[in-house]
Amino acid sequence: MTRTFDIPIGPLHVALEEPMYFKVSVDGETITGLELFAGHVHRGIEYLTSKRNIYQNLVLLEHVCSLCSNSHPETFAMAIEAIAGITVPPRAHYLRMVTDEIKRIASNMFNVAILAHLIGFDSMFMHVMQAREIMQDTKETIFGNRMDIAAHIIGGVRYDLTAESTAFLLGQLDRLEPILREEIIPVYAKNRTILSRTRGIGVITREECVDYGLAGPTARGSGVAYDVRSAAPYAAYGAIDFQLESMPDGDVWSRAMVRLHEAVASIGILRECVRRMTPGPVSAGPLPHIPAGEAIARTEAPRGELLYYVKMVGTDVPDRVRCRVPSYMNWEALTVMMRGARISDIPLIVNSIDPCVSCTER
Amino acid sequence: MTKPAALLPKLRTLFEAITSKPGPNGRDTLWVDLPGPTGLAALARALKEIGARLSVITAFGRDTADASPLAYTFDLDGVTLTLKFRVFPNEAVETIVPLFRNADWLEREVMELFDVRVFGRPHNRRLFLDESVDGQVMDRLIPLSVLSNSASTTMLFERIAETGMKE
Repeated sequence: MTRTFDIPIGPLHVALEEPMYFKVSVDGETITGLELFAGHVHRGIEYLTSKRNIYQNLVLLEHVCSLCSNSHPETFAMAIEAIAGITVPPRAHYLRMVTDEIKRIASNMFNVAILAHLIGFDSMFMHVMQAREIMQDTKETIFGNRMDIAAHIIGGVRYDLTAESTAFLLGQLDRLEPILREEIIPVYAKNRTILSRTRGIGVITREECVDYGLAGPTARGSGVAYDVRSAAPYAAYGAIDFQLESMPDGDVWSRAMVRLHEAVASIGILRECVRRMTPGPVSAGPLPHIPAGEAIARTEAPRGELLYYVKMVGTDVPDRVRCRVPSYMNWEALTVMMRGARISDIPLIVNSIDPCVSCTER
Repeated sequence: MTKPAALLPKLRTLFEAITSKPGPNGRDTLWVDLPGPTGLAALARALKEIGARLSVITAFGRDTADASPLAYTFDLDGVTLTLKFRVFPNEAVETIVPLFRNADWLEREVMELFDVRVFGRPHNRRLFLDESVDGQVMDRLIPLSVLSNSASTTMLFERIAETGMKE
């Protein structure tokens, strides 16, 4: 005999250390419905952008999120550059890509490490986090900080790679790649404990992903081969060949494997950036007057498409900055992923969308 | 031929006037000004049929005529298309949730933060704000920036000084 209940999970819960309240309906052990309640930490950052000038906003927007902190000021800067007709120098494009891909590796590895933690495979969790430290150290050495790297300015970047820092970066990639390829990915691909907890769990089909407008590794884990870097190339992504990762099955495991393979692909992109980078300026120099106008800019943040819609009115203070983060759509897809799942799978399924409340509740 | 240019003939069968603006990295973005909210759902359906994905709904603060500008941005295989129109307080916008499931949160956010009415939705439960908070709250409450700016101006200290002198 089974009984139906509504189980409150959150807003603060060990599985998700940012606040989101889940009202989970169950029939025995099986999930029959899910309702999400957000708004616990909404900060009104979009509103605040219209009270600050564009330089202050670069700093403010870097604090929307920590894992994809780099993508926010970059995308905002791209929108301003489009409005003002600012041409970013080629070297700055590659330097922007370097920041994107370093952050992507660190973000993806963090999510996959948490997966291991949630299934009680803590030795693997620690191994992945230790390997991720290679990228954290890289950020600290090149940018002076481990999370908010403050690399972007309007018209380019505010850092450069010297011969010494380039050699350090390449050395770090050489250290990380074999660990990912030979130690981490084979375990996630074959370990019986990981497979038994993630294969066929939290399934969402390709058609459902399209219906919900999903983005990033969450969608690519269901075979939606969409990536802003290839669909609408920015910076110098159009000049670089890279493998677009997608998997067909749409379960927790597929989303994790996409993130791991993307981390390896990012290593290749970083090497290519270094190889192609030619000497030159790293920014467009003094800014022109920013005229009235509006523009939309998009980047592929670690969690998927990040979109900024910026409207300027001829002053240095934006009239409107709209920020559509990738996590925003992915939350609602949890209602599909959790359908028919077991209560014990809830943390794994939630983690599999790589949720970000601080992005969602800007 | 660029992607926006290749799409234009197909889109011109849906929209009378479609403009192309330079976007980041020289990639053009497409824009359409609609006369009002009427017919939005039909246009959204037509866009869905040609493979569009809803990227975002953007609302703006009310203009001098007390209308709320709205912008619906779609992605067509890497090309962004934005439909813009204004909604007056006595008007409402038809929901597009039956066409694009991700419109649910976007519509709810626009409704509660900008006080725009959307009809045809299954529910209007608040997304971020408590039910007790009025719409357009960001324009009506004291902005956080006003409060925080007190730390970088003399205003707060002058008030304290005035209070101290009265005592």
